[in-house]
Amino acid sequence: MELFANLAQGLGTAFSIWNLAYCLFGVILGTAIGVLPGLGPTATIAMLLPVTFGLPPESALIMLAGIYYGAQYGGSTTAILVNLPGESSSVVTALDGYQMARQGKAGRALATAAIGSFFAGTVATLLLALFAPPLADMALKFGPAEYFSLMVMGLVASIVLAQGSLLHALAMIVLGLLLGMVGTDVNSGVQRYTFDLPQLADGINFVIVAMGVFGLAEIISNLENEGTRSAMVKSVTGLMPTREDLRRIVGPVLRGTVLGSLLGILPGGGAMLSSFAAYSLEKKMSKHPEEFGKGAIEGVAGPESANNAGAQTSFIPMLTLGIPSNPVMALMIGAMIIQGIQPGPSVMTEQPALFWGIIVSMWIGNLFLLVLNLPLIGLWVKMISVPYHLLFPAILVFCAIGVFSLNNATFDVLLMAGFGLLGYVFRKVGCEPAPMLLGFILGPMMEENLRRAMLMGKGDPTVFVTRPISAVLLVVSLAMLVTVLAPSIRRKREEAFQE
Amino acid sequence: MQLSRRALALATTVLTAGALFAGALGATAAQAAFPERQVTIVVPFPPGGGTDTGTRLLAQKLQERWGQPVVVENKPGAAGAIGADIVARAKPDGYTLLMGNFGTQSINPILYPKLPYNPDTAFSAVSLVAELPQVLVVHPDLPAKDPAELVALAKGKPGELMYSSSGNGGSMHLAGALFEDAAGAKLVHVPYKGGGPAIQDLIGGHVNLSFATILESSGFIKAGKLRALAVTSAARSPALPEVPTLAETALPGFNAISWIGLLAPAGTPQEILDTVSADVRKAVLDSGIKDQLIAQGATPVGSSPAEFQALIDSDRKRYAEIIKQKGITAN
Amino acid sequence: MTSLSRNPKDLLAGVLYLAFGLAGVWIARDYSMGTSSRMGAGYFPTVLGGMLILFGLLSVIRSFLVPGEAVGTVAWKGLALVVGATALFGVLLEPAGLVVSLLVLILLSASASRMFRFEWRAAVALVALVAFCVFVFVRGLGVPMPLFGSWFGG
Repeated sequence: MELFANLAQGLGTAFSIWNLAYCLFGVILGTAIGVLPGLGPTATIAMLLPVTFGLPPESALIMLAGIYYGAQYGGSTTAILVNLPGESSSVVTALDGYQMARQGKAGRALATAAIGSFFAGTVATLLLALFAPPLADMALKFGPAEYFSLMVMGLVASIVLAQGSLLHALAMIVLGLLLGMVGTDVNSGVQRYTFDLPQLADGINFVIVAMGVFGLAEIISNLENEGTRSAMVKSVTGLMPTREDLRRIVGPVLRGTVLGSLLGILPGGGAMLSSFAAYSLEKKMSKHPEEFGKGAIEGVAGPESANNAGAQTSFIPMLTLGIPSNPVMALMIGAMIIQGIQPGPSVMTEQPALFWGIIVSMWIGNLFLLVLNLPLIGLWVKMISVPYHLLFPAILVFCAIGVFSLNNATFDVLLMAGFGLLGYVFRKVGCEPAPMLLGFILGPMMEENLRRAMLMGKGDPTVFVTRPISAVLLVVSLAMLVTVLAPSIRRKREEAFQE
Repeated sequence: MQLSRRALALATTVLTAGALFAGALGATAAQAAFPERQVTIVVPFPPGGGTDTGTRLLAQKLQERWGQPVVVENKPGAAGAIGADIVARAKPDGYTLLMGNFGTQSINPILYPKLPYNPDTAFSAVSLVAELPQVLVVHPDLPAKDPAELVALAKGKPGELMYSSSGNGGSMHLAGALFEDAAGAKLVHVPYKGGGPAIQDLIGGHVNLSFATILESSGFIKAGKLRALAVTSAARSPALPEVPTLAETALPGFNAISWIGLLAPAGTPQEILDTVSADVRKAVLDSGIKDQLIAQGATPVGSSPAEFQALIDSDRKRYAEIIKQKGITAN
Repeated sequence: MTSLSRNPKDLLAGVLYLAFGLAGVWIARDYSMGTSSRMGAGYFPTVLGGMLILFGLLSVIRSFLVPGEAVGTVAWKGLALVVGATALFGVLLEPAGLVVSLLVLILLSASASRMFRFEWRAAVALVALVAFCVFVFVRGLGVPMPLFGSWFGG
């Protein structure tokens, strides 16, 4: 069996004492920067890039990969504890995770995230080892038409994110789409809504918006409720999930893993969609959809598993094709080039020790994360019991420095302050920011691919239904839209009858 | 021996991560000549790209040569205009330098009339660092086997063949525009957000051809996922010596390359410009980074400040014409 | 005006949507529309702005028909101090340097809390936080922030 020989070689590489040490160092550093709000893996890896010059290539990449998935992991910790999603994927974790934390179930939420992530990471790594090349070829079948239809599906899924009125959910999605238009239009090169500010020419970074409308706005409204102490966390009830919790998360973890593994393969934003899609799926499948947004454990388990599975499988296009699916992968490719390795399909055949070593190290890294994080839960839970008036200035400091480090630009800090103001206004008038953020992420990709597909199809809109993958995605979106809208319309009718 | 070297490497990694700048503080400032302290090279692009990796290689060599830390700072945004503006405003003492490229120095002034600095007077050229030839690659299913066949195919089907690019006004787009002009053919330009996705859709067969950077395409060429027809430079590239040039095959005189080079804020003393220029030339041509640059698809070149300025000016003049003719916009 | 409406939250949200939608359409009038088969840069923004205007109108109309909650009190002090302190950090970081702008950010935002007392424990926490930022972000991760900015000759 070739696979076993390959895996054996990978084990040999990954289990060398130094590579284990680099892996451990990577996941610890990754967890640390993930926990600090705003500071992401991109900035950290960029800063560590020169350090990797002196390392053997496999050690360098094992460490950088560890930083990446460690940061994904640490990011959900902050999302759960203080409602600060530093990555697009942790936005949905914050929805129910933070509510659980406020109910004194932070430990159970964190443990659920850890267990779900470990399981998903294991499955995704296995998938990577078994099927990387065919999966990568499949990802290439996704052209502009398919990506457009995928984004449509994502948008329909985002309607489910909202808890309140359908009108506000739709309006906030559209507002997010509109905000996403800021910056240079890819198709024509025209700068839109930039007010002649060069700082806006590349659009607004997602982290700035998330830190503003979630982080800053949360702090302001907590200060407002300080007197009534409702901002404070209730007494902690148990650090580990109960038997009942475990029973409830089995399904979500399995479904999230499948969804995340599949979507993560797509280089054009699939991994970002996976956690949103998992959340929507769980809310639709749940017998108690009304619990979502109020601390449903399924709302943490599903998206966290999907997110981590996606983080692992997003290595597939990078390792097998040399295609970067996100800025972190672009940096990893940069690191390979500096090491004198030409990224591309030949990495697998010419550098088997590197390829298989990274894959095996990813599983080891996930194990490290589980072992590391379960004992840390107690510490995190203690941390949020620090009096809020001492905690929030520190959160603000980390947000400000983190946002600055995105582009090393003070303009971004000012922008975050502006979004903080906007986010507070949204809260006051009952608009939920989560659908807006998803619109913000999907909007530019959706427009770009729609216009590209039309350009390639010479203006023929039937490309979206004549291409099979695209057609299937659109049919699924339509079915989802019907199931989302039907209960709400039915409810309206019932209300009308009662009046 | 092997083990202890690795132990050392791990220790340095951990330590450097803990105190990347500790060395900077401890360094003695005894040298009288330039530089007496830390030099910062601003890269106006995000980390990881071709300009960034090239700069990091160079910075490491300059640091060894000067005995002073050379720090690379990424200030991305607005096609390089934000980072360029920061250097334009910096003190002209040689301690803040810009790694500009073909786009920031020659193309942005044509495409963006509202740059925050005056591109004609803001910088003093220091030295060209490397030339980056592009390579004309096609999807393997395209029947054209050489540049002449491609020209014939494109002429036979005007407005049918599609080429992907890294964005409007980028080097991949401009090379395509020059090709259309030289071949008298009409192609469809499909812009992407960066070179990576542009190549991805070419491999997937969603577009037909591309004028890719060697860095981003040579892996696929070797693996047979893309077919290289020609390089776009006047001379063959040392990274792909077996691939002919467009000029020697179908389109005599064809030359479309991108480059990276070092600039200083205007007003920097001439001695400092000359010192840095000479040291950059030695660094890229003499030492081990030459091979690394070639492996990245870059042809290392040093130049005098005057030669570099002449290149910036001639490229700006040449591309202003094609940009006007094709109605290319990016603002 | 809000007293006229049965749902002030919906009314204000509607006004917000209308404002964004109108601004979006107004600014986008400079961008080329193109055709639906070859869309210009203005096509998407105009359609989105139009949808937002529609949602805004619906929300405003609904606010007069369906009763809802009041907006509640606005924490002006917290809002001004938290947003202001963050913005001030951005303004001061390069001229004054990290240390000074951190002090401004921490002290100003902390004063938004009614629990805020400047006693020794707070002072220790303040110094520890500034030191942490200096060592971890500037020394450790190499985020290019001056410790003391151009005002101090840095």
